[in-house]
Amino acid sequence: MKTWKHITRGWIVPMIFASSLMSCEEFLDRQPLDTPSSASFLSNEAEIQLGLTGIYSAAFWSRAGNVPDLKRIEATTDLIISRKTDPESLIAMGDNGPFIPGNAWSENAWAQGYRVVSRANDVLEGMKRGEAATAPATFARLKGEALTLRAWAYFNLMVWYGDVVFYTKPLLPEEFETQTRTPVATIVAALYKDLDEAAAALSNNPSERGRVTRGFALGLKARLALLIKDYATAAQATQTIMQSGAHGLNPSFPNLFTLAGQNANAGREVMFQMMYPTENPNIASWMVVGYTPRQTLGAQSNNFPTQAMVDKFECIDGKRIDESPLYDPKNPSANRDKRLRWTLYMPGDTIEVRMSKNPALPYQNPNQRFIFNIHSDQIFRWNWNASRFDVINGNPDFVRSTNGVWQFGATGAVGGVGYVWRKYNDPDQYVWELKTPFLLMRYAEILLMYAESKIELNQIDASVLDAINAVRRRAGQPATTETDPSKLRQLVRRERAVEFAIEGLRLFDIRRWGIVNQVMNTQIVGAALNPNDPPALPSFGSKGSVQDLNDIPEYTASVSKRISSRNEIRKNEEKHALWPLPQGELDKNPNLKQNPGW
Amino acid sequence: MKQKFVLLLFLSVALVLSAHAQRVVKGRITDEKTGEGLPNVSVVEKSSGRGTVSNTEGQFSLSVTDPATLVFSFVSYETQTVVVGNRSEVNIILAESANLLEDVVVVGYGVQKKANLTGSVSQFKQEELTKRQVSSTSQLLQGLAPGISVWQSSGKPGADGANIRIRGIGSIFSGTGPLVMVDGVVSSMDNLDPNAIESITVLKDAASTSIYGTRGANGVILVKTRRASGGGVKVAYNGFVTQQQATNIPEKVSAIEHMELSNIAQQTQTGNPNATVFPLALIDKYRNSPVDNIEVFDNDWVKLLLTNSGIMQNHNVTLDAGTDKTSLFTSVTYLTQQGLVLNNSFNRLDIRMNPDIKVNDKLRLSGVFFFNQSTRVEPAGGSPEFIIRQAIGLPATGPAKFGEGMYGDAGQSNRRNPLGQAENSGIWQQIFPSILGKAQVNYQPIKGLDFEASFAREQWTPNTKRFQRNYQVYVPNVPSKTYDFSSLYPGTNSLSESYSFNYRNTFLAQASYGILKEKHDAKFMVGFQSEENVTRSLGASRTDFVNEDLPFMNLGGANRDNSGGASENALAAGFGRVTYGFADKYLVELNGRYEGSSRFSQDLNLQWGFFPSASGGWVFSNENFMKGMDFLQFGKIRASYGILGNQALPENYPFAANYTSGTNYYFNALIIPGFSLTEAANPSIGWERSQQWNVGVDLQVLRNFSVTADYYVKTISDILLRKPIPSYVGLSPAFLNLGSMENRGWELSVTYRNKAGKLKYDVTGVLGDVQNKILSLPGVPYLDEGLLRSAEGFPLRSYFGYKAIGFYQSREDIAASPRTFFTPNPGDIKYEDINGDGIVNADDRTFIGNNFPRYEYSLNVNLSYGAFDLNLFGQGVGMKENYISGTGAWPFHAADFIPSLLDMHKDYWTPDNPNATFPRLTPTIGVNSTNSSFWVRNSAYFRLKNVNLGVKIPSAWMKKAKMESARVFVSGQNLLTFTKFWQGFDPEQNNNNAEFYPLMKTYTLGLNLKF
Repeated sequence: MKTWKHITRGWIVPMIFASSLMSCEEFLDRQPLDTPSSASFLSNEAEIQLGLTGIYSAAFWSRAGNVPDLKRIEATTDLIISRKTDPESLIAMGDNGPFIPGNAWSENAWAQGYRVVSRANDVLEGMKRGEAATAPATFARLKGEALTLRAWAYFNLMVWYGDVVFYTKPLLPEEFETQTRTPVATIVAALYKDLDEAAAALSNNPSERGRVTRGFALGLKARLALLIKDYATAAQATQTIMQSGAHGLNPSFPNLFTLAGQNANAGREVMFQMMYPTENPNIASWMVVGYTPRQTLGAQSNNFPTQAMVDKFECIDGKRIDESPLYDPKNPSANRDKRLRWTLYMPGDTIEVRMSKNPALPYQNPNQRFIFNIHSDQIFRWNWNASRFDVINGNPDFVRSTNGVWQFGATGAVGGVGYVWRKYNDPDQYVWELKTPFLLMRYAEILLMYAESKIELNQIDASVLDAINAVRRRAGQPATTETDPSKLRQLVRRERAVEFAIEGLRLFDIRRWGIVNQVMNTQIVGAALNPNDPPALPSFGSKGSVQDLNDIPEYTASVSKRISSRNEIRKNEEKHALWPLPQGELDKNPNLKQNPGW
Repeated sequence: MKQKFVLLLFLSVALVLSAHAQRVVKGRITDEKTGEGLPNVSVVEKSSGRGTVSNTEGQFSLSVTDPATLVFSFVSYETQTVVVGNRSEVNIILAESANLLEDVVVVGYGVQKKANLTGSVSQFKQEELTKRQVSSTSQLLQGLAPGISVWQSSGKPGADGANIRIRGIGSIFSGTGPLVMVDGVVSSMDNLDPNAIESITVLKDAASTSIYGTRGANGVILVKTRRASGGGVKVAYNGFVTQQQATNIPEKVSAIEHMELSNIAQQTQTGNPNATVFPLALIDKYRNSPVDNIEVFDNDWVKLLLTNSGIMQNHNVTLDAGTDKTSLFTSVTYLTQQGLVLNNSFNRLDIRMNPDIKVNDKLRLSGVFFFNQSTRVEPAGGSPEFIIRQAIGLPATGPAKFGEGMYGDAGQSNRRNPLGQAENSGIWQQIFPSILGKAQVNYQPIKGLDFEASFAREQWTPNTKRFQRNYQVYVPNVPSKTYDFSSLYPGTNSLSESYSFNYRNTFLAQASYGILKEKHDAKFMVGFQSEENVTRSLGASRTDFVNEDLPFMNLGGANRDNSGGASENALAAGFGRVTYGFADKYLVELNGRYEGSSRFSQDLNLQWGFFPSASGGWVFSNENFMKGMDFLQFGKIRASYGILGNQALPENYPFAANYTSGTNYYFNALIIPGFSLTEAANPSIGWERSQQWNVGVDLQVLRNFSVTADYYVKTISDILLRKPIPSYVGLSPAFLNLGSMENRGWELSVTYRNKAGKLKYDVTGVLGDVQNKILSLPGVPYLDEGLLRSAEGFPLRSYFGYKAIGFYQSREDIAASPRTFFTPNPGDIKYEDINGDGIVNADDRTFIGNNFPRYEYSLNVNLSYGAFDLNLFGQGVGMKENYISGTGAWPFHAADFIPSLLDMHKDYWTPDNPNATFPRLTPTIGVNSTNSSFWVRNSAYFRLKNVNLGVKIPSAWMKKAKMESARVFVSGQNLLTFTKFWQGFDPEQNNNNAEFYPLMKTYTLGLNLKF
């Protein structure tokens, strides 16, 4: 007991109290353990690289269903019909959607764009800490990448919303609610400078695929110029790229949309793309899953071409279908621009997709091959064991199917109108793990932007025709010798529609061409209900009319003979030429004004 | 103990011999409730003052001088005075005192006599807590005392603990749950078996909780576990078996109804009366042919999926052993609980050992050793909640299962089948071991002075393993009437595992001194406490396992990922208390805590704060002027005021700007790491403050009627808000100290006890209300979280939307109504043009309800008659709204699968059914899903929470079985519910979108044995 008394009286109690009051300062000093500190980050090249990667990450726009956003946004235009309840479908339908503020796409696209802006601003400001420790050329290149990505975000924001909030430095907390909208022209002028600075520092052929290139910076400048109809700048920027010789057309159009074809990047046509990692199966593009028809086991079709898309493709004589003697309404896929069949499948086409990762029953082959059929209740599926097509009853894409799944097929109440996409289908890749980078800019667009600018500037010369014909030649279409500006303008617009289908340019185009109301006020129709009773040709309006010069088909005479599935009638008004700003932004910052009509 | 008894006997004999006219009176004192012998009861002869205490069997023996009167008294029991007369044996049954004011109540860092309390405190004893048989102890607090809102949001095994809010919601984004201390250490009460708990104390007002400083703002719950009584060896077994069922599951439509209604919806949408989704021929086929599971299906997914037994078992053994020098309390519990869907279960094992060693009169050592391990199992392919939502949402036409291991595609293009997910998708398993050790030393050098020091460490290492395997999807082959293999779902198997290592060190040193001199009763206490929390984690995953029966990480394919993280926080505080009572009439108490938190900036010197409180009480029943008023046995008025802090932020380092890892990109198709600033920073972030006024009264009227009432105003200021910033800033908002709100409430608790012959009963009624109001949100017009809006002058998180005023009945009606933000059709919900500007738009939205319970009440009735005892416990909420949306609320709605609709949806609007429950039937809910009062329903309810009927086995049988006592009981939970809420949905569960785990209705058979 003595020991106990000694211990307790002698020192335990005093020690406890003493120690407890000491070193509180140190005890309470706890700093973040698993993230870098904001005060010192970005102070050397490696850290700037990490921050820069973060900007690219913000520009990986694949929000809904692992499908590139720009492809989904294309479904808000005239050339696509997507599953009825998808937000992009509601946008496309305008008042009949109804497209209202609060639509998931129009809300999220805004935040998505500004996430890139915010990260770019942070890196551009913070990297000054690391400037001294980085080789000047490297520093300039890293800065150029950040500048270009920021311009890319602003470009898209302006296409979607018009005048937007524009800032180029991290906002201080007191500046959060004081921003106003800056006119598009002002923003574009500022971005020209950024892109010039970037282009001077960027490489034409960066060692790492996926990084922005010099050509992309200049191409983006041209797009911005087109947005404000500054054709001189667009012509000059595209000409710089063309003269650099850094890019050319890939000899094969289909190769642009397969993994192997893009890896080769023959002609270096691909200038900027959204990448996917090979090492993680979950980060992949599901766009092919999203448009393979339901007669494929395991397909998820929800996004389809419309008749307006199909009818944009010329016949092989270079004439529009209503003008060409080669067009056969009973066999509409014959004698057509090759890009038609490279872009989409028509009934009767053979489709091959890899629907399983490993060899799977019934034929112990990961690929399914079948004849795309909508006109009978049968599926024609290739039997890999017997080398023949098996005929299976119960076709979910049958236009008169009794199967309950019918309504979600390539035809049907919430489905498509008898066509499905082909672009990006790659039978060498498992559809749920498609790794083909999504193209964001390629050289063909540079050529067509050049041609368009020169036409609009009324500077039509051989270089203009060469540019257009280079694109047409690859598709096997005859060269044009047209010199009439309005006919050439029509041709360039047609080329853009068929060359870049589902590549994310259509919304940009119809808005700047001012044809939203013309193309977006119509009923969506598709293939013939009965192939033996072909519908009448569409009307393209009187010669020289806006409708004619923009190849806008009109189907009143043939609706009853076409697949019109859900009778989707689109009703777009003036206000639909721009998306509404998210209501929350206006609520939080009363200085912001909504777009007209919303 | 035997020695003591012999000694007592010897003494009695000696007394008998030494004094003439003295004789020995013997007897046994038993507890009225349990019928067991009561030890340590003091027995005093009134005239001589001689006395003794009863032994462990409750027996006593005392020599008395005739005529004798004996006084039997024991803490918290009613004192009895008995005239002996000529009896030589006096057997006494002592009843627990209705006047619990003599009770000792556990308070922060100490104990106090209930009569001397000046704060607002509720305490529950073990016997109140073991009346209900539940799997999570937190559920037991529901309805026991006013001002404590308790509701359950899930019935999932292992996740069915209740939400507890004391006196309203105390913060917006920081912690709102009370601080739970088990034996003085922050812990969870759900890990404890109620049989191992001695008492639970809830500290409600600022005076009681300010000693907990920065963590007392939301109230404090103190749990004290049992310690050995030091009187021999006592063993008890408590066990029960429970059958659980869902309280409510909505009823669905049949396959044919699904098809017909789909067509009607399509017709309504297109305006084409011949439109079909399901061809009439197909519907006819369904009508005319039996279900063959090849072409014709009619699957009741609810029945197919809710097939698990729902059996719960709990077995607890306690051992109370030792002497008054050294003793050990041990409790071992095993709980196992099956869920509603297959592969969903929970089990828990805990072992508690609480040793006490009295080294000498001055030095005591005590400890806690607690081991607890729980295992939760769920299907790997989908959470039970998601599976249940699919059960509620999937159409009956979807093929479910064709044979063992052969699943249909459920009518889904992606072939996701909840039956495959539940039965055959592998399992997710979380094993959660935790271990706690606490050592404590108490030293009393002189009477009244007590030094205490303790150190406790709790360490928990949860690990989760999820292996998702493929199940096989088949498709019917109609001509051959067989099934063809179609594919594996999901196609890729994957394993992910995560481990984390966490510990909490708590160190406490305190000294207290009490003086009791004549009319003065003073106590002083000072102390120091520190706490640190550290967590580290590691996770890994791989896919493509060749052999699905060997789900171990190194057998996986090349797709691999890993992650890890670490964080920590610390608190340090000094605290003190002074209490002073004069003549048991005037009571004063002062508390204070000076506390520092690592969550705030040290550079800006923002870590420390001081949180004081003061309270006073006046026991007016002890005043002279009350002398003659015997009906009032006790009366006290209390008042308190205090300031508290709240540092329970969801982040550990809110003062620092965060660069987030994982913003990766894929140059050269490789994953290249990136870091980004994703959040705005506010280095000058500080404490949330909460101040509270409380006035209360405690009354004891006659011997059987007691009343406690309180009124309080709690004001919370410097609330940490993530003030929403425009999304063009591109960052998530930082916390700012902005805004204030108020909780104003009152509480009333009334107990009546009495007996009529052999029937003994007590009834406790509890009623309370708290009203929340946001006082200010500077610079923030409102805070929106989905459909919830918080704005000045309104209760926190109220439902916000349009006010529905019926349906558009016709085109004429539409033409005559104000324009609106959408193009309406007859049968669409009509919204009120609140501001009367002729157009219904965003400006017409208003506050349409709130789901925080108001006017909570309960009634707790205990009856006993002979060997039988009965507990009836009902609990209700008088005012509450609830919003229901998504699958289950809306016909044909599920964002992620092809859905059906519920039976109740058949009452949809048509011109012939103008007063329908639902709007016109369309294939998608469309504009009718706009947030509006249409989807807000009254979810007030009254629920028979518990019925427990027990019977004691006659003691004669017990003797034969060598047992002390045995009780068999049956009980049930949630047996009856009275509500106007939606059929099929539980009024207690908020914001229901059909992705939920229903609460349980249970039937229990149980046994209590004592040896």
